[in-house]
Amino acid sequence: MNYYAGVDSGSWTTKAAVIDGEGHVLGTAVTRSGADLTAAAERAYEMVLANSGRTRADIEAVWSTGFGRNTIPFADGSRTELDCHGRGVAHYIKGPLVVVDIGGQDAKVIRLDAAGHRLSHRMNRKCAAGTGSFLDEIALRLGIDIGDLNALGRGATENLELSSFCTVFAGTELLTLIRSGKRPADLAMAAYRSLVKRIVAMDVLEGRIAPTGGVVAYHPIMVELIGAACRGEVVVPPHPQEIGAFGAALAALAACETQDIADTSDTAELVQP
Amino acid sequence: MPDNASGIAAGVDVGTECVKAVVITDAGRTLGRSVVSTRGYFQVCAYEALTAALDDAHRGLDELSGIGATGFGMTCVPNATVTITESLAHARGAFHHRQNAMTLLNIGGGDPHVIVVDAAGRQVGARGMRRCAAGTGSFLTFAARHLDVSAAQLDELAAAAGGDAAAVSSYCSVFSASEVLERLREGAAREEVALGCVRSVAQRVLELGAFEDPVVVSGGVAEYFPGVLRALESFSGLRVTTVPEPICTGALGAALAVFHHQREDSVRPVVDQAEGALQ
Repeated sequence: MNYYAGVDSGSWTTKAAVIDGEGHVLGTAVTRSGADLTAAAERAYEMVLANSGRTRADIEAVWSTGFGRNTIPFADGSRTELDCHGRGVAHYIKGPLVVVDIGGQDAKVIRLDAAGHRLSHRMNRKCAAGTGSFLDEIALRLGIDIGDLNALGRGATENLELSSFCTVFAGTELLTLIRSGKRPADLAMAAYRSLVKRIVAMDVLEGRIAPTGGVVAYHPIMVELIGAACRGEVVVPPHPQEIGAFGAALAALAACETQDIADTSDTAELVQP
Repeated sequence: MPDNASGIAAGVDVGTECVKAVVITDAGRTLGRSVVSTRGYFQVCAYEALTAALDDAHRGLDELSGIGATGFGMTCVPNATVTITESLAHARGAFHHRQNAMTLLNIGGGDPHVIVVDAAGRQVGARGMRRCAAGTGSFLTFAARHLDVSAAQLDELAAAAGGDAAAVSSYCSVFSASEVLERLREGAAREEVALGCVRSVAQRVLELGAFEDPVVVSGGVAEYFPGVLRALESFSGLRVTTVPEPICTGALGAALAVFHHQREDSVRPVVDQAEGALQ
């Protein structure tokens, strides 16, 4: 059996996935990207090999994607994150669909047709207000761990709204609201709603919608809010945070399959004369 | 003129980063001032700033003929007698110093504004930005945190770069934090990164449109980050100046508004007649 791997080098976290020749996932891994993207990719790869019970020798090919895809020396090839996210989601969910990927420092909306081909995309890399960084700042201001924000938001009872667009200004506004006696749970929920508002404003979200990315993986409340904010059916694919790494592994698999065909044809050519 | 039209007045400007207060005479001379950071309850900050400005002026609260309030937290100034918009306050404050038409750039902690002031000191236009901390003092406060200096030291650090700036191209204050760390990791000197941040603010402000000479900057950035003014000059080719105590411009305008309103009250019948005549 041949195995394939994908590494998604994001600006915030690095994700990795190992699949078999049928596209089944054997294991995934997530690590913080930190300052050294190459080291993070190495770490993610070691972690995913351990999680899937494989060694480097078992892997036929490893492909990279993401913001730091060109900083991974052990990668056999690379694909853009738009390609890999689309590929990963389309493997699980039938198109036409809209992929809404919310990462730590960016967000993208990718439209796929019935065959899983990309029709169009929108990206936000300029403003933290529509990304996971917004929630990080809110958690920081609320003085809680980011991992506890979702549970906190669940306890909301009052419908509050943050009027600030900017993450920096929202942080200041939050402090003012806390001091005026507002409950942290309601503020956490207000922050989620604010983020969803930015995401929904990126593109027309309708039809089948597939939310992915770390924000969706750690904040399931976001899935419900996206569902409530758009007209459509919301379907979350398996391992939504590692979907890009999975797509890169699928790209590695596809490349090896074509390579095999190419090899055969090469041999055929050699044999012919 | 009634008694309360003479004497002294106070102006309080509740901003996103600082609360500023001034105490002035009816001739517009500043007797006392204070700047405190905005935190906790705005009412308490406003009262603290006002009390400190009165102390600085060696005057008492009961001597004030009125209190003018402005800024994003202007509704939180206790016992304010007059409330005016931030743009109007800055226009009045800057005109008091300059007495000429100008393009006034109010750059503080919140979003920057371009205020067009005519030769009579009237605010004839104002445009703001993008509900965003790009091009503000808050951006530099954020950057200072990541360069591990106090906000007050950032300008000094940038001035020591000798004109070589590291590229800081992030629009977003939050993302600029990782960019700052990236530049440092690539080997840029802290001074160069600081200058890059200062220049970035100037670039964002210049995106607000073409400015007509003379350009005057008011607000906290002119006070604490004069490097931004030099960057504005070099990018725009215009001469960019500031007013005395730029951070207190809004508070001064609010204090002047106290006297302005008192005078307006006493001449109101005349104004009404003039308006009637026009119709």
